[in-house]
Amino acid sequence: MNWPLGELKALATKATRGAGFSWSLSEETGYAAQWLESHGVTGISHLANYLRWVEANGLLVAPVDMLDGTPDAQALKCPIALGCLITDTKAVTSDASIRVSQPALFLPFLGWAAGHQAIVCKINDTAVAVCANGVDQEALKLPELSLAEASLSWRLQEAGAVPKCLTGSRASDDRASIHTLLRLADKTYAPATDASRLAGAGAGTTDND
Amino acid sequence: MSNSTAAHTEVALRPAHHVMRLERMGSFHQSRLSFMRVLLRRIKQQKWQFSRPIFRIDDNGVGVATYSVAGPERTYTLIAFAHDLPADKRSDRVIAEAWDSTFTLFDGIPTEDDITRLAYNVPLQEAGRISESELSLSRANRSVRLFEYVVDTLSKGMQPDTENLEDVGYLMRTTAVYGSSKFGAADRAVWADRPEFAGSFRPELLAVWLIRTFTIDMVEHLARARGGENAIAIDPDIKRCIGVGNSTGLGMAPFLLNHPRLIHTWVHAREKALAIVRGVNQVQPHQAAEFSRLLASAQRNARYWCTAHPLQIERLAQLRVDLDKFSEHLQANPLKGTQPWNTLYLWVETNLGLEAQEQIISLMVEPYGELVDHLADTMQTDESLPYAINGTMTVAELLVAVEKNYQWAINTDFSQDDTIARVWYVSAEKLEPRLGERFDEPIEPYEQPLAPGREVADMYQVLQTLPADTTVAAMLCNHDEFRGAVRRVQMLQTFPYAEVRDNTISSKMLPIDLLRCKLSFFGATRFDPRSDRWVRITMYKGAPYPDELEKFDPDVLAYFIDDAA
Repeated sequence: MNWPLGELKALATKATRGAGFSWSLSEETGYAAQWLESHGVTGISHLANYLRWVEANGLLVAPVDMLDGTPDAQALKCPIALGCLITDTKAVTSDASIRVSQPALFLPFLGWAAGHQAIVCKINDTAVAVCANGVDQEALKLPELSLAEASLSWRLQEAGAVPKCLTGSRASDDRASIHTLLRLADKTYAPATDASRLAGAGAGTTDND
Repeated sequence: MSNSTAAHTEVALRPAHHVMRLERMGSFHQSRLSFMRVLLRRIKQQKWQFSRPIFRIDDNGVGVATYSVAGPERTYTLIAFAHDLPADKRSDRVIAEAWDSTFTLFDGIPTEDDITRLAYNVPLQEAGRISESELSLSRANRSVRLFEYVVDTLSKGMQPDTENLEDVGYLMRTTAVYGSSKFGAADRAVWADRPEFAGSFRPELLAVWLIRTFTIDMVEHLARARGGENAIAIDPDIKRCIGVGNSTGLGMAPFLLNHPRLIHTWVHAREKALAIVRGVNQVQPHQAAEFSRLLASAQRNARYWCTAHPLQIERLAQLRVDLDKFSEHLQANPLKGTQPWNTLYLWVETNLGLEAQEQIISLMVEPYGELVDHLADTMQTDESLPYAINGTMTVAELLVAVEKNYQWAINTDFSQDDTIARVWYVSAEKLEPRLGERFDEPIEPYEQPLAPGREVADMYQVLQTLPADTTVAAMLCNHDEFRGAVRRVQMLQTFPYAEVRDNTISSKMLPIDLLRCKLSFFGATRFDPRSDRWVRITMYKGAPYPDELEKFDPDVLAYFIDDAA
């Protein structure tokens, strides 16, 4: 069973919230997972991996050390929180090496910051080009995208061709990851009671006419 | 510009803080920019062709039927599954598990294999699964009051009584019409670039229009099965009185809060149309005559509009009084002088209630299709990417933006129980959005982010503690929970109609105001609230059927039924 991207986005948002993130970051994550899947990257799998890691290790601290330009080389960064900071500040180049968990989840934010130019992101020592249209299709199968933790630096390419990217309309079919996301999304739903059935939806019980 | 339209000097749009209040939004009426009407205009202009390739319904009303519509480039097919539903299983609630009929809009012409696949899934609705070939998923229940009555009268060779039809307005009532990406359906991106679907909710509303024909076919088929040669078809003029009912609960309410950029486009188009008409310098006699005819129709519509809800009864009573008062004023003050619509509008705003104000706005726009119809194409937006936050803005600048557009929020005391009395949440049961009482139910841990006013007010307090030159990016790095609030505040600088400017978790908030607003943009009529959070409406009442489009102008018929009443 494959999923429409919009349905996946809603699921990713709820699952991230279920894992303990704020609604605001969860919504950013929904967009990021959708963007990855629409460009041939298995966003579902990367997100499920990351959320399982967060369940086991707890939420990472906010990347406040990035604000003064002297990032803490040892502090592991959340790809979502770091990604938001990069898009907010349009920090399209970082020569410093940043430790990032599940780096694939960071790529959408680089793509949004890059616009119609390209940003080349080095994941450990492997270069991956991203732009607003997606991730370089040559890089989609690189094992570096799936690392639980990697050192990243990135640089805007002010000249040269933008990468060739895939565009799709359905999400990948990774049932184990979907199961993880569904399990976490369940945490955002309130258990139903007789009272909420009657009052919460407002229709009462006599709705024939 | 043609001779039929006078030159105009546009006046200012009504400000968002005036328009985007729940009580006013809950008084909106359908207009010529409503999606159903725009869709029918396009279908008529493009001369779409209709057929019913399959009608395999047995004498008990069980089976499948298909309705195909072929436009210039593509064909779409409604697949309708008719079921034998015991009366005790019939429920409009989303927690229902069976319905009289279930539907999907297929992208193209389905094969028998497609129909077989969908027969295993569409009748299950939320518990089934559809695919990228399907654009909508919906279901409908028969009107207990009307369906059997119409079958019975037609089977005996008689036409149904129009008064009975007017009371209900539909043979079947849809209880959900799901669209893009729901339960496996195609994403909006799949069809968003198709010209026939330019705008909002086009596939869903195309499906509903075809469902209307199916409901007529069903009563005529069952009448023939029962009455044999005595049975007759329903009279075309009577048939046109029948729309499709819809029963809408809270599932629709969060939409207006979750799609701020889209809502801006809807309301902006409506306000732009009003500003254009208010700016018309001189009214042509035929336009004044058209307006008078429409006003008379609206007066009759208000008289025939039935509701049992005390709040709507009160609003309707005021509407009737106000429309009569307006009619007298119009007779005493004909549309003359410079910018007479503007003069009239200013009188309306000062002298009439909200229901009448918003009704008259819809009527004023009617004679000016050639000035305003193009605005329908602006009522859509691409929401596939998040709205970009400007992180270089300073806290001082953000405070100014908050104080400009969120006075209503920062002046609300959110420490008072009644201002935070409600909680929007999603129930584990069928994932239905619900509204609960914060202090009576254990639901707060599950609260959805549907109180932008409170979020902005909370952020405002934090902002006041920060150095003025702190950047928004730095603030958000420490307070990621305010990303949504920042985004909304910044968005309003470009999209002023994006925000509902009322407290959506107050004890006084009426969810039906959110429902009414959205449904009016669809083109719904006869709003009949059944509680403060559940409303019945009618869709396509008075509109032409597919085989009548060549003969009738759907915009004229938008008020036709009230002339006939």
